[in-house]
Amino acid sequence: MTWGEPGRRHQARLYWNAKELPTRSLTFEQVLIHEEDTLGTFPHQPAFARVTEVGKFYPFSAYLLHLYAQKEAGRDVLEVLTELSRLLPQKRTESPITGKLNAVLEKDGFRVTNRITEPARALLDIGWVSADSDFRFFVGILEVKTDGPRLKAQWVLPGLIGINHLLQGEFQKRSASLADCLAEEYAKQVIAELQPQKHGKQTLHVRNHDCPGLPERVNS
Amino acid sequence: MYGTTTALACLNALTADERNQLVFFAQRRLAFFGLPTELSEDLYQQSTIGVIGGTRHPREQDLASQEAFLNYMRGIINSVAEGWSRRECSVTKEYRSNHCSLDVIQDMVAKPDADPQGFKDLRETLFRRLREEAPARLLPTIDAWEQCPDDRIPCVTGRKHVYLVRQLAQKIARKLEFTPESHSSS
Repeated sequence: MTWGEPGRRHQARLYWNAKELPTRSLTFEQVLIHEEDTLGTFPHQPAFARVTEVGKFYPFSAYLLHLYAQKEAGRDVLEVLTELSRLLPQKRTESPITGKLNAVLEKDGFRVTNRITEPARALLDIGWVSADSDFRFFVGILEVKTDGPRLKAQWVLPGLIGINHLLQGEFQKRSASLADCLAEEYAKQVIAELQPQKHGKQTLHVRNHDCPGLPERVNS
Repeated sequence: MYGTTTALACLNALTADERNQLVFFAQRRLAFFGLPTELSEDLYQQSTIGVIGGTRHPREQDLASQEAFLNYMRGIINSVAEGWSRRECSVTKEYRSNHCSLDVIQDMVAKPDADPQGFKDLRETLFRRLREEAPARLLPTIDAWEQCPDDRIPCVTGRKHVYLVRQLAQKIARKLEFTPESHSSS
């Protein structure tokens, strides 16, 4: 894909810093695009830019999201990522956890790539893997809690800014609700493992050591 | 022992189990900020670079014992993770609100060159709808915004109220199906 004025044609080249980031931990968010290769509508984000002697580099993931948000791209995002994943280094050997999500999601490539269990919640790292590549794209962190016999789930905010927002949309399209995304057996297991959510206001009593004469402060 | 050793020596003295604990802590902090947990090893390494490179300056009590040093490392990991979340999520709000950024409002109130009368009508509509829909606590901020010469929302009763007014204005702009393109073409 090329665009731009004649004599100054831009090419959509992708970069990553092989010195700074070893290939084994390369994520899609670390893939960069040069400022000259972006369309003029891409807003300058100083916090995003990696400033170098040869210009600024921006995360390609954020740029892709911008293209979709501005309706400058309209292809199925999963097809785009499938093509992109063939260009990226295939160094992923550890296999994501399967059998945790419902059949529709698993069939379309969504996986639980990691799980952190706490007494009252489980944090599931959701990823997406294309059919013909091992490269994982980050979708989001899904927080799962139990409320009696039911499950409650929500994305952990703020999350990354990038293509994962579109992937979250694709994820939610394939599931009636976020709480229904888990496989039936795994959902039962989670309900059994987690403590039910406590309702009601939690208060923290702070003893005022400096001024013993004053009443205790109560932060709600 | 730890009182006389440097931070580097403390880092070298970490056992594999303690290192794993720190990596797991990094994983949890990343999950807390909604970032990929597979970066936990990178986060741990980034934190140790600060100690090795001397950009972090531990206090004497941070090196007093192994437990104190582990706690110090957790503090660095938390700091780095929070920095990553700020850098990587800096424009999240813009996209989360249906891609309706503050630019919509800025264009709505600060682009009189295309059609002065149309702009005046739009501005009046916006503030009328804002007053109708806003709770009473936001009215001072809305009044001040209307009077403000540079069209910024001034902070009168608190930054939270500025944020709420901005959100409400964006909602109204979407209801009016106002976009910068439609305004500039009018």
